[in-house]
Amino acid sequence: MKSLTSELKVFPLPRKWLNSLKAITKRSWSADLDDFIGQYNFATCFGTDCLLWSTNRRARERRVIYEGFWIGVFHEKRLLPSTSLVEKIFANNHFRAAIVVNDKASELFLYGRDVFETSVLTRYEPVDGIVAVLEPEEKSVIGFAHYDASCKCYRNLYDLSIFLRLLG
Amino acid sequence: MEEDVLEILKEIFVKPSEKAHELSSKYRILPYMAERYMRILGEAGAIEMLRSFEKPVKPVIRVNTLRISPDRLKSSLEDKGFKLERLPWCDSAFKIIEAPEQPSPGATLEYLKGYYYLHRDSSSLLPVLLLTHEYSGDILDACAAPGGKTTFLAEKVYGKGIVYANDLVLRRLRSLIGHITRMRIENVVVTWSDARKISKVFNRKFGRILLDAPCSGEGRISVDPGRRTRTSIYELALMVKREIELLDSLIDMLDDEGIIAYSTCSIAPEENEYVVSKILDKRKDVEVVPPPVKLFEYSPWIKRYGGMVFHEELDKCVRLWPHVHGTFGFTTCLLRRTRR
Repeated sequence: MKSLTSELKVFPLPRKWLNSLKAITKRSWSADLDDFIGQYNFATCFGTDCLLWSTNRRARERRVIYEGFWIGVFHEKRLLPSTSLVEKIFANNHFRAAIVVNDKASELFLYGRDVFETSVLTRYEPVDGIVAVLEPEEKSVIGFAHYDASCKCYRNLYDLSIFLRLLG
Repeated sequence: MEEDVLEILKEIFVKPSEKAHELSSKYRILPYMAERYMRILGEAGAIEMLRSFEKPVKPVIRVNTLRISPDRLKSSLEDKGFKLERLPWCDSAFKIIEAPEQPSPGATLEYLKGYYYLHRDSSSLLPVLLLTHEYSGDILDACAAPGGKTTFLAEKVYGKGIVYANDLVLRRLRSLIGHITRMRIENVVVTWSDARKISKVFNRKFGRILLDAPCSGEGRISVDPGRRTRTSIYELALMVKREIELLDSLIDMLDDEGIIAYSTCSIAPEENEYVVSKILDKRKDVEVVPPPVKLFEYSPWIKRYGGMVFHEELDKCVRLWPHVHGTFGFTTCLLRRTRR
């Protein structure tokens, strides 16, 4: 692990993380991760939060801390795909493991709130694991959630406001 | 005090007059700044400019055209209560004339989806448009964070080049990475280093370099009133020294015939005309080139200030004055490397 300061670390994506991301994309969206990522994969961590990125550029200068395509996050000790990655998967395949939520729920979800079952307009099975949350107008991915039967809601795992919260 | 800083200080020092002290106290700026404005613009012009600092500058939405068309974004934001006006010299940018109470322009769904970058003002678009005019290839953005210009450069050379975005301040690089991921821009490589030592990072040269130098920010007083009194003349001399070092090191990173845009958000001639004149005095392999396109009526750089007479060719460089252009005070100068 290349530690540039106590706050920033940049390192090749560990095999365990890559396999975990592959398993998630296979299980939820029936997609082979290798079809969507580059040859070289890395993580950039600020404290305990990490961005995972992928590139085909072979040359890597000293002091490079990020480049290429954003493929995932490690946030609150959980590894999840990026919204960009899953949108690329949806562009090539049918929707799957996704819920389309109404306008109000989209807005609240982007404030970190959960989505109640009653706010779901469309379900694309399977929805019992990790699901992509889609806004109703363009059906773009605004974050990820998982179903919690105790509240009959989809718990927010992370949403696009992560950019404001994590990265300032 | 270091000898070269002392030398700079001697050259840029001006003794404030009584009138400058009067303006300084009325407009809450440092006396040397008031003296400078009077010498450059005359008393009436100085007062006009100082009054323009009180007027709020309209923020600008620059559309990420890789994700959405300007017209579609405009319509979508207007449905939310925004009133937007297209910039006459940049098709993909809109001034925010009115904004609803909620959502703020930096928290709309469209913003989070990466459909636009929110600039404090339109001036920062200028060096990008000048530097990328009819250009294909890689670009080094040497002091890149927080990323407004980087993301615009990347859009301009998308499919034709990579933007190498460097900065020294980690906290600001974090924001830069945030904007790149939010806007889903894939042709950017982010590096963390002191731009003065960047030859140790890149074993190559560049056809275009943007140096938006860390500066006093004296052109941004309208949005950051602390800048009225933040920079003593000694601190200004330190910044000038760093600006000269940055520009000098980065010219070494240019290809033959490569062009660097030196820009600052400062109206101080010490940070602009003085810096570039020092470089022209020192180096024989660089020349000033005029803007390749006239986007609007530019003001030229000034010819003399205090006891200093600047290079004639600096009249090809561009100044934006708050009281003339209705923007932040901002400067850009294009320099071409001619031979080794």
